[in-house]
Amino acid sequence: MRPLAGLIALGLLSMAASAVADPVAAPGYAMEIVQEPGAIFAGLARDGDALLVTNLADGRLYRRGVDGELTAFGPALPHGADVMGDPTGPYRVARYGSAYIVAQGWTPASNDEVNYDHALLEVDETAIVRVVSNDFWNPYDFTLSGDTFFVIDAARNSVERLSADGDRATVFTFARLTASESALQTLSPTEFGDKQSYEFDAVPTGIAAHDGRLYVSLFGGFPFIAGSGRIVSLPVAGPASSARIQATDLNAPVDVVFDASGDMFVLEHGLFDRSGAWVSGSGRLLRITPSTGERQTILDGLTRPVCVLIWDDRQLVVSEIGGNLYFLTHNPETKQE
Amino acid sequence: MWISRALPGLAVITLFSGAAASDDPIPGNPLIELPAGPFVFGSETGNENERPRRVIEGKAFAMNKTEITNAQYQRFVDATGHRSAFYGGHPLLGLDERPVVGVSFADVAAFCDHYGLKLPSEQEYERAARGADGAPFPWGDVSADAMHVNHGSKQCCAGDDRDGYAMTAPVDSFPEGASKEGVLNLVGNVWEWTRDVYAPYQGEVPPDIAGKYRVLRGGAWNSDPSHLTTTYRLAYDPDFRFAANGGFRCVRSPD
Repeated sequence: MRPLAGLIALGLLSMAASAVADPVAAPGYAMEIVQEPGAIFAGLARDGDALLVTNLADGRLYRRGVDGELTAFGPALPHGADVMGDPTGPYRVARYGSAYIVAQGWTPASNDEVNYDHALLEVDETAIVRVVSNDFWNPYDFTLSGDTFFVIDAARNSVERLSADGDRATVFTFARLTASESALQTLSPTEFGDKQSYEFDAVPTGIAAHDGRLYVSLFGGFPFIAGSGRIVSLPVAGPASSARIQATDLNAPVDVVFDASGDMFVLEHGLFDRSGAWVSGSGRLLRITPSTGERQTILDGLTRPVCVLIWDDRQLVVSEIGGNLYFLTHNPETKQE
Repeated sequence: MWISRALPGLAVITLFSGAAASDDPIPGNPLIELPAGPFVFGSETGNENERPRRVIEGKAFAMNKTEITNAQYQRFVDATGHRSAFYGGHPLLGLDERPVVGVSFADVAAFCDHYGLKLPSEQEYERAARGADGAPFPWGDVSADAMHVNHGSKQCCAGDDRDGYAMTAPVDSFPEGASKEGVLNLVGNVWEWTRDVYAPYQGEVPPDIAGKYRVLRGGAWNSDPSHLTTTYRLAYDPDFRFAANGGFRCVRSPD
């Protein structure tokens, strides 16, 4: 087993430029698409009847009410391109009492570092109320269980436990993943042609609390081999050593959520093409029934999706970096069994 | 959070022991003349694909003194409309005086062609890096260290700053590591694309690799000692443009 020996790439990469058709929802789902030119949508959350959306293009939080209008609120948070040219800023948001919690990404490359970078922030309608903690490297997602935040640190490759008063402790650090070098022989026969295995970073991305466990999507680092992503779970309480692999053979899973019936929804960022970066239209939303392992593609043809939200027992929402929101409504009468 | 770990204060001294060509198509990057004559090519002590070691009669050629910088590559982009280097905006990798990285074989071939030049062949690389007598390193026999080369950790394959640079170094760094003719950083800093299609020097070419890969040479800022040699051959997909440690330089070649 060895790390990549030859040429190396850094970070996540840009998407292929080719135009693609709109995504396609599975039979039994009606889809509405909201497009906001120039927006870079990321985090999604429900706040009563309103949808909360983060926009990395301007560092703002948006509220979409029943009238369908997107209205900015809260402070303008640091935003811009990170060192690899990918957008950073307010990755995720959630209602927290009378305020909101925001997972703020790492420092934009063109900015001087400030106290609000790589942090969990509490904000209200106009301003940052407090820095819950900035003792993270790249807090990509979080979930709240009781009074405790569980935060994904995508750069530390870890799940962090954070108390409401800001005390942080590492719950679990993911080991590097391994794959057969045969998967990379097409990249370099001199580096990957000897049938050994090689390692790549696990890169946790999404997190969901469900049935006493924390479910984490492992995106998998460069070279983002198709099928190398997975979903793992850890107990919310008790020894983290009892981690379990819940799903494998996933293409860069970036988020995971559960619906009320216990089905797991996994959002795949897509396929990586070495000559063209992320392949447009290769992202998918999968519905996985944990008890049987059955998989159904709910939404296909996405381009760099970021977040999925279960709205209620019929509706869900998906965000894309390209400024698109997809609203899916399930009509049980036409469900394909 | 991303913090630069480059250390200040390294001496940047220019050597002029080689003869500069009469005209330099790439401003700020002179071509260094290398004379015709026999030279040692290949190795019996490295990997199987480096064999055999033999003496070759070489033609005269001229090679860029340094790796192509971000600033030099950007001038080419501005002049031609060619796509930018993938890491051109990186706060460290994209600095003007650092070697350009994040470029495919087609990108770098187009750059050299724009200036009436070519990528080096493997033979030209080895002649420049080993001299005529097949020295282990451009500077001689002393193993690669922080005095001579921008290298990585001892165990493959992470960058470190023991040599003063966590990632790439300015292209005129490490003057102690220059070749006899004064060509800089032929080992370390960035892997350098050559124009050669990868194939073993002897025996049949496996059909699954025939004609598919180009060769890079010299190791990089994250390379361990086993890759920091003048004979190691790195074959790579020529379309790959995301390497943070892959760059190039050009030659004026009669071939």
